[in-house]
Amino acid sequence: MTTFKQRAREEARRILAEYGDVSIPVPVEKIIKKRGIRVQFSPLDQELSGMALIKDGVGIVGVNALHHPNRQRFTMAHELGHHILHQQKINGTAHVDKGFAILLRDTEASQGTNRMEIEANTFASELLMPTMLLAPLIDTTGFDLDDVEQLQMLAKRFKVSLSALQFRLLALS
Amino acid sequence: MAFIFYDTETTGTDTRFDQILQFAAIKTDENLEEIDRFEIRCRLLPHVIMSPGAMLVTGVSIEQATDPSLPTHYAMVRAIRAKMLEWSPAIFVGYNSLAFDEELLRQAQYQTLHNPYLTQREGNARADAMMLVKTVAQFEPDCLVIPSKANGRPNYKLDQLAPANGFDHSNAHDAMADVEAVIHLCRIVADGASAEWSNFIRFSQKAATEAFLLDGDPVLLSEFYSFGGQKHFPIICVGVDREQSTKHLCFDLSHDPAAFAAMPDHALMACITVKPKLLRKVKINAAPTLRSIDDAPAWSLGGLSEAEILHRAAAVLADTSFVARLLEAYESSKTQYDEPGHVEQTIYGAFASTTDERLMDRFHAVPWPDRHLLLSQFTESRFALLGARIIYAESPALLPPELQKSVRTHVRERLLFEGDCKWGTIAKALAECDEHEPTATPPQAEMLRRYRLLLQALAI
Repeated sequence: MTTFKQRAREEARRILAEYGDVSIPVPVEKIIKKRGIRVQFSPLDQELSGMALIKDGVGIVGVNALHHPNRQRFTMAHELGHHILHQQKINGTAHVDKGFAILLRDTEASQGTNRMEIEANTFASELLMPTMLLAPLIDTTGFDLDDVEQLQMLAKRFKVSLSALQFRLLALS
Repeated sequence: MAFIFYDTETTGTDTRFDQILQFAAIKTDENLEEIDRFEIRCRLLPHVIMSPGAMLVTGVSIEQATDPSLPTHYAMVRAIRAKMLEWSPAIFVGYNSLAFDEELLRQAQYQTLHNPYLTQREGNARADAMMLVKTVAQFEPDCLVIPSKANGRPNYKLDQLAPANGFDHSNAHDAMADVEAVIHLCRIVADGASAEWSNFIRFSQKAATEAFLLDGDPVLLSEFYSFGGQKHFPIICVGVDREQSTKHLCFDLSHDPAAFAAMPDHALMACITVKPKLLRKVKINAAPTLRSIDDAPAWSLGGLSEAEILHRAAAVLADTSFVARLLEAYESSKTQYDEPGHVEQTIYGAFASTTDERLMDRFHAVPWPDRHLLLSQFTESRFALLGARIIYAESPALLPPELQKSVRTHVRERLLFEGDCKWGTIAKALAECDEHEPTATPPQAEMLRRYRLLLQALAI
């Protein structure tokens, strides 16, 4: 039986395959734009990372302009996950108020306490650190999961935060 | 999170030697809805002469600028900082602010013994709405109405642009009215050119700009010039200035790199300063106008195809020896500037040491009569002079007689200077009064007449 997390990962792999050849770091912004979704930067409140919405029929990924670029990349991937996995719910707001924000990514989401948020996080994790690109690096270099310096170097290559990489490696193991 | 829109009215147009007389700011949310506003005026500093031209533009008379009921310049800067820090973090936006208001705000803080980089610390960022307007005029030409000058060139002056776009700007050149005008224009852009608005916000952040440049892909850089022109450059980032880590060096892909990569060092060196330059300098902390090549319209790519730009970018990055030689040629070609001669010109000399920063904090905390005792403890004489000037402006009697005399001499030398200089002098102001009088309206002529009397009295 396919779990909801497996489905999220499979969807991320499908999106990567549809984009074409990808290398590290995964060009998340290009992937989003190629799907006809706009990336919109806004100075949101500190606790908000981004949002997924549809305005005038156009999909939008909102990103907090004041966050670190690596965090912004994860936010983009997470919000793309909402567009891919929860499109029906987003569509429901297509004709609602101008700029109406739904599915705000906040502290609750990043802690993964809500199923939709867990799905979007899983999607983002697989999109930015695809198994096919991450696993060989760990295998070939004899990766030590407790070696913070090596982890940081790997996080830098993938342009993700250390904590995002650690979560990913835990899931992979 | 918020925007802080701000504007200043000043004694003149020199960003080093003139001073802010009025500061106004409005804090908005991310949807540009007003949350709070703040406005303050101050008195003229003893060593500053107000330009009669600025007086006529702002409508601030010499009586208003010297009104003893107004706060001192120091008190105004303290109040501005307190409010802006209360509102931070935010994106600071002005109109032509990066070249003008921001520099005056930095000077105001520097000259009152504060760290000058308020708009880039405490999680803050900065951007310039004039650059946004110029960008929109190029890439989304239907969004804003751009008025024209008599010679047909676009007119980006706020007092012309805002009314052309439906803003009642009858109180133009009042700092608060100008702030409201800028918010009005930004709302139009946010609604009508959302991609440009998004880029404007994104590249207000130093880290985001750097990440974008270092992504390994070519990007389009748009530069706008004060005479009204603009140019667009497809670029690829190849390095960083050795002395200024915020200055990124990018190869202009309008040039075919193959032609230059084959050159010997001396020939490459000869090309590095020739226009159009091989390297464009992008200051990542100055909100550059950037976009992805795939977001750039074909007309902005200088006749090159996107594929050719990608090919050239890849060729540059692959040739590490060429990149190294380019960077070396750039470093060798840098202009060496003379040591600054006046305290205002030393703002970018070096950051204050931790010792001096701590002393500045103490300076602000101790009672006025005790402040002069700290001056000799600064490790850099520039801070001692600035501190002495602050105390003198508050009340000369707060300084010991020798120091009081020394600052008075400094002030008199500034005001009475007769040669070529950057700051306003009595002689320059009197000459400027002569220039403006023939075209002045009766109320302006009266304003100038009273100012002339005061200048003549000061000259004695």
